[in-house]
Amino acid sequence: MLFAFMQLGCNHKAISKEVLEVSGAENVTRLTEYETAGIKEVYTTEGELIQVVEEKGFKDNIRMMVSINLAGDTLTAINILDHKETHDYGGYVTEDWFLNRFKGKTTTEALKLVKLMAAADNEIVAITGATKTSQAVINGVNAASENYMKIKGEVIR
Amino acid sequence: MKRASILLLIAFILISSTACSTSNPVKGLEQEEIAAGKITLVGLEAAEVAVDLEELMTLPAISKEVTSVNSSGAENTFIIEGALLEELLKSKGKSQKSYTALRLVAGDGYSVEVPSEILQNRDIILGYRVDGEPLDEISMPIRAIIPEERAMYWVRNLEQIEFTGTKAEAAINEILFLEEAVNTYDSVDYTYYESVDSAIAGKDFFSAEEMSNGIIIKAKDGLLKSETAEVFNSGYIKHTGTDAPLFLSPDLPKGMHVKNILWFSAGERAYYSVASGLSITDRATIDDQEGIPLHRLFEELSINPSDSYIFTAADGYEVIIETADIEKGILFISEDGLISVKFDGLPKNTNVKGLFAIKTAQQ
Repeated sequence: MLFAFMQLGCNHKAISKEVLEVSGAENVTRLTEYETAGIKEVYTTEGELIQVVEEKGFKDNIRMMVSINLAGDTLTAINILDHKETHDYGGYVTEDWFLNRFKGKTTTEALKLVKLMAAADNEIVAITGATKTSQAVINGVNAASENYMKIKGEVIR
Repeated sequence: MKRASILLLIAFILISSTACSTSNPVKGLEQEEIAAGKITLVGLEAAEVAVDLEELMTLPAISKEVTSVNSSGAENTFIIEGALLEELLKSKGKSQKSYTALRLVAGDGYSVEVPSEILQNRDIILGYRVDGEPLDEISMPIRAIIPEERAMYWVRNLEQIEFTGTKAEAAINEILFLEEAVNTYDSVDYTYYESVDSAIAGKDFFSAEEMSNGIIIKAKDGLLKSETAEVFNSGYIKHTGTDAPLFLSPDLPKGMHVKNILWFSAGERAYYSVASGLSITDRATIDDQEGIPLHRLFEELSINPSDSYIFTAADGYEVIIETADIEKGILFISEDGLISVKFDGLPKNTNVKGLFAIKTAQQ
């Protein structure tokens, strides 16, 4: 499967320097044919699919990088690349304690926002006082997971 | 030459069209946006009264430099332009000074009660322009500003003003100590930023009858806030972890949360946090034990005068203390973490450990 991913074609769009820096990945291949209005960049690298996604937060677009493990179909990292959320509210979107809530979640089931406590594996607790910001990240991650499953399905076929 | 004339004509058309779009009284806003930007006045007259931005802009305009301070202490100074609520009410034959309270309600559900003392002494600006520009999307259509008052009264996205009035507050006849009381209610896990703390549903603290006049919450920093039963019932009192005791709700804007509560009350009952009280009240000492003087607690909560008061422990132990002896007592947290009282010069059996409540004796 990894080989299949690496065989996917790419055009000549540049590989984003920020993706290389944030992910630390090497041997990156860009898959522009899977990029959409919200999914700005798609890359494969060894063992991972990396997508740069934009979703409307409370104030403006939140630009995030979603890394998915190819072998396990699980989220390995969410990095917030850019946002304009309010400091004391959605500004917490960059905190590890929030982003770590996504780590290890499967891409096969859409994530759901909850407000007090996560009871199921696909539930993510919102940042206190920043529901819209949290929902935007969940939407972005779900879009990336859905896109990943599509890419995976097509490659496997 | 012909080309120059065409360029001049294009420039003229462009300038003319720009001039048309800036003839609007709020620069940058289209006429439809002005008409759509309305607030509703509830309780002013028998029926709700809708006021649009256009009507507000016919009132005398006020421009004032104001400084907001956010919860991190960061200051932001800007010039707000708008109309005074008092002028709007005057145009309808009313005055804000004739009301005992009103509630400013924002489109996102945020609301805050403005009490009588502010209505009597402060200007309430219904702002429609900041630093000469229309309000941003989050603040539209109106941003209420009450200069010299806390930012909680500066309501963005103002959609409604409710002239509610405030019913007479009942005097307190029972004080429950939060640190002990929480053990008698069911707590739920509440994720608060990075931690999971314990919280009790607001609806568990008071009966519907007790809450008929709403709830008053006072924080350690002096913030005094009135909330409706509906708002309080939708929230929780988080009693462990950062900022506790904290009133909060996942369904309320964060601006309505109250951190570091000193007490909250409804009807004749108040819940008091001894830990919060100890951190802000001058202490008295009895036998090397420091604590909050009981008379200060009684003053803080305006407890009803009574000949005597009943002190009840969580295990049911009760003592009755005469009013004259109240000033001899202190309230403290013992080394084993129990809320306790002791009295200077009274028998040892008047000491209570695990204090749950103080009640006025039968009136």
